Amino acid sequence: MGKILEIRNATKRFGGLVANENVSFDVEEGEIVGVVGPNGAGKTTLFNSISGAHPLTEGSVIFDGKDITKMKPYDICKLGIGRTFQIPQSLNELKVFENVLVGALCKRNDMEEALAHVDEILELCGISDMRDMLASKLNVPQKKRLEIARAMATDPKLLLLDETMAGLTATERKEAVELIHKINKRGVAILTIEHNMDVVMRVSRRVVVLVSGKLLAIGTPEEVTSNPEVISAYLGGGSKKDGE
Amino acid sequence: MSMFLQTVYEGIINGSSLALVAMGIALVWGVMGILSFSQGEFLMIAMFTAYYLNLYLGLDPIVSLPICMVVMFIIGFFIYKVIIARALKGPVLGQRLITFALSMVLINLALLCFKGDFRLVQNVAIDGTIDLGVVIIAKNKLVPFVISVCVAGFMFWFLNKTRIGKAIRATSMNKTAAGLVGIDSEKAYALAFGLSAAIAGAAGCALTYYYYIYPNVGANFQLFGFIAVVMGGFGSIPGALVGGLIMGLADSLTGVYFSPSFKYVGICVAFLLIVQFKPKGLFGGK
Amino acid sequence: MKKQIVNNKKWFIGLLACLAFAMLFPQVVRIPFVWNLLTLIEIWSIVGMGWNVIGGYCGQVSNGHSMYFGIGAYTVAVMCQYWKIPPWVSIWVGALISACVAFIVGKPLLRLKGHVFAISTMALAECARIIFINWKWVGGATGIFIRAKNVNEYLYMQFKQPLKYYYVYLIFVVLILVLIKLLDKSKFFYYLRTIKGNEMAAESVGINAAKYKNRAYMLSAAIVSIGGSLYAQFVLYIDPSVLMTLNISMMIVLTAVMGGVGTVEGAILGAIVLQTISEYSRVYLGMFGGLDLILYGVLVILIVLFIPGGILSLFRKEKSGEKKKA
Repeated sequence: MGKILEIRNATKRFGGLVANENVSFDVEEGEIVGVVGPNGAGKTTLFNSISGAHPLTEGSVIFDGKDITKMKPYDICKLGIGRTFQIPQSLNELKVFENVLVGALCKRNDMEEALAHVDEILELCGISDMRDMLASKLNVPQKKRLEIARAMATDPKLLLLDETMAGLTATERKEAVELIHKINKRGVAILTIEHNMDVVMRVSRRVVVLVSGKLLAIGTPEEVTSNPEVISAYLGGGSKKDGE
Repeated sequence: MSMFLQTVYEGIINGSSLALVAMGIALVWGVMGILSFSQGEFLMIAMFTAYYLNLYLGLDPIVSLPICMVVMFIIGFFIYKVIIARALKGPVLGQRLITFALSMVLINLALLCFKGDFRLVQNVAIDGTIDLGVVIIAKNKLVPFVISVCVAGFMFWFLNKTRIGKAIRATSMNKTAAGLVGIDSEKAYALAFGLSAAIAGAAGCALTYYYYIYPNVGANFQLFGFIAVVMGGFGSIPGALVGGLIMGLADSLTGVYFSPSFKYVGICVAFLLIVQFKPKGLFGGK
Repeated sequence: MKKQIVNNKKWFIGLLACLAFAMLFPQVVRIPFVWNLLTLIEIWSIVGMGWNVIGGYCGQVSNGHSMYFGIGAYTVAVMCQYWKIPPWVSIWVGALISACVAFIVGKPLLRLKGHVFAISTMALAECARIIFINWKWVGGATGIFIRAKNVNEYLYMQFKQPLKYYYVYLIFVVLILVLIKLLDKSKFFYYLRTIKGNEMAAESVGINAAKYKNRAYMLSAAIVSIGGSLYAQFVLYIDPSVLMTLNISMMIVLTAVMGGVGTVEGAILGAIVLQTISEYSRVYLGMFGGLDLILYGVLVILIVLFIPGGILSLFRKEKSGEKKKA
């Protein structure tokens, strides 16, 4: 399998603050990779660097063989990286289907075609019932689904999910895991930030552990959890397995 | 050289009044996020108050300064309670439009009551000039400057040292957090709005020492007040003060050395350029 | 989708009905004052719809659109005065100039947000005003008349009969109305709404926010410029002391907001309400220097305070209420 995403020596500084330092790893086509780490480990910063919101200070991001390090977010999206936000950024004045529509229009100019795609995505994400509701009327778990739907509507090859499970109940989490698998079955590679170790284990093929902006370990869930350094970092960091 | 110093002097004098207006705008902006278009009209009302106190009671504007401030505080407080408090529940744009409509009402109310004539307070207590050789200082222009400095100092003391002042500042920094520690934001808002009117009142009262009084006078301070606030780092009160002084200086310097008719173009263009490179104001970080 | 087509059909029939009403109304109410008012409503509807593109749909609240209103007005005046070019041509030239100016200043301006953007647009409009007032060639502070003698009144749009203005301007209103309505469900306007809602989210779904904001700003400037041209053509005299002021800028915003921001119907409704208030109060209270504007201001405050969603929302609420029941 080819590599869809390659991160090479990624370093991001905000003034004197180092958010990420020399992080390197790959994501293969169709793979699900989990990113874990205590609060402030630089997970979201890394996402922002990949998606172009805050470009890297040093190092490079290669997507599908193309260097996207200094590209703008909208161009990166067009190339095929979709993302969600930790705090859902739904367009509250628009209806649910319109939220997804703006994603669908990314690679489509024809309205009819885009609307058909929207309905398919809504179905996939299980929010068809709310199609004509205003996004502001949704609750948080629904908004998180809408985030995924909007990102999926742009036909990504790689999806960046930022804590889509945080704040969900056990049942909702189960549904979300199913959704992630469904999306993955469509051939979309997924890079997901997750606090809940339990979920990470169930979902990802490989796990990346970030601590204080540095890559601590990478490997299968079993490898990572048995890594003494990871254990000490997690226990030493004071934040238990479950971030909830 | 003498010409330059004289220009700088005039600039600082004008800037000090502008600084007070900017301070009021910054207070309302910082605390409740409203771009207030009625600040210039508060200044105008205070000018008329000082004028009539002088005309009928013979009070010198210096004496009527506290009266003006109290009157303006009450007017501001009242306007907050009746209009602004309700507007705050609506969209931001609506709030701005309401303060604009309010300024329109106030200007035309003044026009209706006092007519559009230009007036000047006669026989102010401090008059005459001091010739320093290089600069001629008109004493009547010095008065507004001194008053502005005092009022600004008072405001700093009030906002930094008193309980109410601290509550207002806390609300402007973080409304939710302030609410959590038990600050009544509603009260802080009302006080801040009243206070901003009172500051404008002080500026207006002081200005009557040499400035013409007419219903539209506030317009001269409105846009420049806004610009001063942005330059100083919006919402920051000390920033607004410095921004106001800079605007005053820019005003007189460009008037003398650039072109009297195009000076505002120069200032606005300079402002637009500065905002491009320093979007958080001259003293804000990047 | 079918629903949408049905909606469009409904809307089109509605438009035809409104148009028929608009054509017949001045024939029934044969009062020149009303004709005058109707023409002003047309002009302000156009201006309101134009501002809406950037301010309403895209959420970038400009407080300096008087600049484009002025450019439109000056272009028709100057082109008629110096080269005898009829407004049918110069209106579009004005719109083009406005769009070009908007393109140039839009780039740096639209990087700013919120109050700072608003203040910057005000500062820019102030620059434009001062430049025009000091520009001798366009009449300077005394202004400029639009007068073409012994010409075809239709070609030069100079009618003695106010009603003719009304009917000619109706063409422009319908033209812009249809244009905006067509764009309403287009990719372009959906992108503008997304930018208004959340710029970061917009960029994450592949929208080049800066580009679309600038396009919206250009379109908005061009339409407001057309409104300015028609205004100049209607009063046949440009008075720089009223044409490019903050008051005009704010009136433009008010027109778009009062009716219901970000909707075509809202802009027209806003124009109807505001112009009616302003014209009637001017006639009946204008002699008490300022009283008319006090009334105007008070009514504006009341409407904005008590109907924050715009007048249109009064009708909408009933509708959405019905839907909930069903």
